[in-house]
Order: sequence, then structure tokens, then C-alpha cells
Amino acid sequence: MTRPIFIVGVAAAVVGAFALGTRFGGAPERVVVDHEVRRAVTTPVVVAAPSAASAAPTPDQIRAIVREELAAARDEHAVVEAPAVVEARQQSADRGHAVIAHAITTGVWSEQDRDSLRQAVAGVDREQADRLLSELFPALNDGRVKLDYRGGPL
Amino acid sequence: MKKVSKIMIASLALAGTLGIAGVALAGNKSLTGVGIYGRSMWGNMSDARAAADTNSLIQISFYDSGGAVHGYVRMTNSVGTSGYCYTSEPAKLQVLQSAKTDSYVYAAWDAAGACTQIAVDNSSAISPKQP
Repeated sequence: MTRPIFIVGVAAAVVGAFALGTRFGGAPERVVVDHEVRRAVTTPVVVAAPSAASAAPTPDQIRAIVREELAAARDEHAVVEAPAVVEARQQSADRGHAVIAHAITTGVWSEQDRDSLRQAVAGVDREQADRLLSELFPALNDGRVKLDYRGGPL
Repeated sequence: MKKVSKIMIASLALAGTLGIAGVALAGNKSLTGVGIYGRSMWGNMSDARAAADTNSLIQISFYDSGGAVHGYVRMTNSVGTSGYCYTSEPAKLQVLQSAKTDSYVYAAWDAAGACTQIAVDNSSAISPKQP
């Protein structure tokens, strides 16, 4: 009669000791560092629960939602470029600006200038290319630079 | 009786011939050489080519730099004055790409030389480009 009780008691003691050991002692738990970069949480948009009187969100609420979604989309598409890439791009832009500045000084846009600008534009992004063209085209329109060949300027 | 019929047939044939000739010569026609005023320029490609002077020119070009596609419009009028504008905006590039060798083209630009307005008109009124 006492034997089963003894066995159950021993089993309970073993299980309890094991549970305490894994919780407070023994091998350390594996630490998992979460490296996931989470998007910064923007100001939450509070939208009132729809009621019978006004089920649709107000224009201000819609604007806030749109702003939040646009900000989230920008964050998701943000690409961090390597400094070397950015520097190479800037060097190309600088070369392009130098070609245009030289042409404005001489008043002539040659095929060599066109080829040099093409090389420069090939190494820049769209905004930088637009800045280069926004220097050349006004100079062409003002007559400060004239083409000395029959083709186009770019 | 037979003689009268022959005369009628001949008359109808002549009228038909004249009518066909009339169709060939009639119709709405647009003759527009290159015009440049302020920051705007316009003209028919075919008329620029057919101009009696050696200056008139309308050019639309595209350049893929790898990072973006750029397009520009260049026009030179009969006295040698030129206008230029460029764009990398997809909507404007699409309009520019619709230009044909006989199109009417209009473009306006801002202080930076960027195209602010572009119009391309493909119409039967515009004469076809001659060699």
C-alpha cells in the first residue's frame, strides 16, 4: 500500500528537480539576438470606430492614413548605397560639370564635349543627370554655347 | 441618240476625272515651319525639311544613360535661332516617342531647360516629308 505512494513520490521529486534545474541551473539557454531591422513606428493613426452616424473616416483621418502609408513605402524602398558607389557617381557628375563649364567658357559644344558628357551621364543617377542637363540646355538656349557640328548636343 | 449617249458618257468620265483630281488636291492642309518664341518652339517635321533655307530643323532624340532615359527636343528656325529642352519624365518621354517623321511638334521649357509642355500631333493635314 505504501509502495505505490513511495514510487509516485519519488517520480514527482525527480520531475520537480529536473524542472527546477532547467529553469535556474544547468546549461545556459541559447540567446537569440534578433537582428531584424524593424521600421520605425510612426505616429499611430487613431480611427474612431464606425458608428451608425458616421461610418466613413473623416478627410483628416484619410490624409493621416495616406501619409503613414507613403512614409512606410519610402522606408521599405530606401536603399543604402555603398560610399564607394556614391563617390564614383559624384566624380562622374563632377566630370560632366567640368565639361559643360569648359564649353561655356569657350562658347563651343563639340562632338568631343558630347562624348565626354555621355560618359559622365552614364555614371550618374537621374537627378544628377538632370542637374547636368539643366546647366547645358540653358546655355544652348541663351546662345552662350553653340554646337560646332550638325548632330544633337547629347 | 447614240451620239448623245457617247457625249454624255464622255462628259461623265471627264467630270469623274476632274473630281478625283479635286479630291487629291483638296483637304485640310497645314504648313508650319519652325517657330521659336520665348521659351516655346513648334513646327512640322516635314515642313522643316522642305524649308527653302538650310537652317530649319526639328530633332527629337533619346539617350539611355543606364540610370535613366533622357529625351530632348531641338528646333532651329530659318534664321538659325535654336531652342532646346530635355526631359526624363516618363509621361513626357511617352509623348515624345509618339512623334513620327511627319509630326507637328510643340515644346515649351523652363529656366533650367527642362521641357514643361510637349505636344505631338499626327494628322492627315500635315504634308508628308519629301526627300
